[in-house]
Amino acid sequence: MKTIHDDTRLSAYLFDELSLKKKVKLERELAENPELAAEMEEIRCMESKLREVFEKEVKAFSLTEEQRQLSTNKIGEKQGKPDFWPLIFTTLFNRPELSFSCALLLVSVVVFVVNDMVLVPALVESKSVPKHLEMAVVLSDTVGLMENLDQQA
Amino acid sequence: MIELASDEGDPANISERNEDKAGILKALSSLNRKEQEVVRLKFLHELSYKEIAELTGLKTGNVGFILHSSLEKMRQILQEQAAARKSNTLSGAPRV
Repeated sequence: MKTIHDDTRLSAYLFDELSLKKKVKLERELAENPELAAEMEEIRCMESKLREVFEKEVKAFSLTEEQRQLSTNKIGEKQGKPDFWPLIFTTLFNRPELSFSCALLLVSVVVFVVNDMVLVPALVESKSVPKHLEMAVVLSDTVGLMENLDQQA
Repeated sequence: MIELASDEGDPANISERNEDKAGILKALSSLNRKEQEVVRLKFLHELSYKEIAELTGLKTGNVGFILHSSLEKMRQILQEQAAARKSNTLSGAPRV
């Protein structure tokens, strides 16, 4: 059986969760029904006790004003000096999150350009194989030949 | 400006308040996990029924019901504690 203690509207009223229509209706009922009003008062008392306990707990574990100020200042300092790449990309595109990928892309382009336009033409133009490479090829051929001879013997 | 005498620093009052707080925390710990979660979200984080429902996966109506029944349970436990304390005081037994 539903009793007066099960009336969830009372706590909902305290937490401001009722619609205006329901609120007005309940207020009228509270004015007419002293038993309901007494129940409401009990719940209100319990709610304020709980709130007080939780407020104390929060105060006990929260930062002091000085600590809060210090941390806010440090965060402000950090925010005031963005890193190099984020600064560049924030300035250029207003997208700091692109900084790493854009930096990577830029480096890849530079490597490609240097490789393709400087190193390869230089190698093609030189055409001649360096002397020490010639010597190494001759030496490895000789060693290979000698090994074959050994195996045949 | 004249300051009215305050009984906030009175040791008897401090002791009573500490007992109240301990009683409330004990009553809170007697709730089940879901009830404790809802109560904490409401009182510690000041969330609305809808926000609590989103966080916990409950329906908004259930949040209201759980919160209300938790308050009722805690009220009953506190009443029992107060009654036990009163009977102990009357019988002269030491406070636990």
